[in-house]
Amino acid sequence: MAIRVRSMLKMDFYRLFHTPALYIMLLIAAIIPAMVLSTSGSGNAQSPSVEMTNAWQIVEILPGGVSGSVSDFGSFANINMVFIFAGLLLSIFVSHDYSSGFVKNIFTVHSRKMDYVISKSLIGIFGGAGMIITYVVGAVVVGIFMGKSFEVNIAGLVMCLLSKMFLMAIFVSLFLAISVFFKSKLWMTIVFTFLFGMMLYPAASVATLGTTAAVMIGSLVAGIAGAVGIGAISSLFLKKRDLV
Amino acid sequence: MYAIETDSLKKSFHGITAVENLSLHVPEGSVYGFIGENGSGKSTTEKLICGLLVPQAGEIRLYGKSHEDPDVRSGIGALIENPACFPNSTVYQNLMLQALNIGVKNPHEEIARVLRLVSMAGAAGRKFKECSLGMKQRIGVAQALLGRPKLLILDEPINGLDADGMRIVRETLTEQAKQEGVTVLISSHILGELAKIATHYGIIRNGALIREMPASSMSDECRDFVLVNTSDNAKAIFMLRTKYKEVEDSDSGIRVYDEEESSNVTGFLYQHGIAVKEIVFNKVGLEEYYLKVMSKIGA
Repeated sequence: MAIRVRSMLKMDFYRLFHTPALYIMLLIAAIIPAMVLSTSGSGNAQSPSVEMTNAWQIVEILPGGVSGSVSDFGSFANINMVFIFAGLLLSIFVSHDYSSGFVKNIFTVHSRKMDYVISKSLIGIFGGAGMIITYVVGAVVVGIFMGKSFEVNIAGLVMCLLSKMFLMAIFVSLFLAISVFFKSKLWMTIVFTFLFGMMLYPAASVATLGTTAAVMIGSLVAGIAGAVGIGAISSLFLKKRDLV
Repeated sequence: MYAIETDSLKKSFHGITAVENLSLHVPEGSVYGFIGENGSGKSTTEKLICGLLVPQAGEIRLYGKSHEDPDVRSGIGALIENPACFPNSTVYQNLMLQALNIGVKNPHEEIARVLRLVSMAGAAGRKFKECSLGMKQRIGVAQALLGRPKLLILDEPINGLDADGMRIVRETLTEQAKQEGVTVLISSHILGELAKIATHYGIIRNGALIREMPASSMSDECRDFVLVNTSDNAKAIFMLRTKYKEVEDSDSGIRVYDEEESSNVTGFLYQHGIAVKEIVFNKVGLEEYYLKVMSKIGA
């Protein structure tokens, strides 16, 4: 099984790095911090905004603080947006498998549907993790340009980012289940990805810059459990339904 | 041993039966021509064998094992309906994806090999969507040949090909079958081409397999005849029927089945003052045989 998954992963990574959608999503993730910063500190009574003094506020809430992301841009323009972008990337990826017919090549030689679920989940997590990192890099660049402070608890920052990457597994698994359910119907997949992404959105905010080891481990366990559970549902969709 | 064996296979879509009680037997090392009208169930059967559709009943065995066995399935190369490629990727990238998918050890060399086989080496850098229909078909065949599969399942692989393209694909498949021992299940509407390579045939109609036989048996059933055209065919038929029992008027001329020497027919007609314009020794082809079988079943 490991050999089969490895060969499929090689294929998926080759495709991922040759897909413009990945670079577009990474670029968007890198731009969001500038948007967050440009809209912060200019709120009104209806929309309480926060004056950002620390560059890491663009990433998440400082320990005991208020998120810089709660700005005029609403609660959407923050790092957690990348969870939805990861979903979009995966939707496009899976939908094109079906619309191009390449899915026939995949499943003719791979009878175990779980191989596909594992490979695509890992690709989604990798893409999502890449977007988180790009977002952080974007925040650092914006912070430098705007002369913001970079004072932060490094351990808290690392655990925050890792927790988000672990939680990404739940999101990605859910988006994969939606994608394999709707097959080549990309628009339906996107609509449901947004719908479920918005519903699950608050869950990603559990990881802040004050994240403890317990939260990180909890995120890891939740990520694995979610990926296995929802992955089993995706596998079932693939097994029980016609693929073309 | 059978490379492919199906037993009472059934598949329907929204209550409409596509394949019914289908028991197919493709011997190992054979080139199995799978023939049928549009909508007869050929593609559905091939998709079922490839695991792309879930059967409602029946069994599929590949080399004696379940068709879901991952080890058996790793040895299949397929081209079902259209070449399965990403339109915005190059031919090379598409082939690389499939090479990585099946775990080919030296993908660059393997891609070069299969492109050479289908005479497409110069098109590697071209975007798939920019290729002509014939090129796409050949790329699809190349994709199926990646990793030297032991079983090829090809659905209409010569659709849209010009005469040269057909020859290339025909020669490639013949070489694969004869030199590499590859089993080929191939469906095509171009029966003349199929007749040049097939060692076995299966005829499907309305989702049911109505006939399955080796090409040699079909050859026995496809009788030889003398085809003659004269200055007065009506008189010629009348005269020929006084000597031969099996004389038939056809669109292409008069057929005399119970005569093996065309010179005897020429001599006989000459004796009765009928000038022969054209005379050839011929054989009932696959297409005609197929149409006869279909008309019998239809009747």
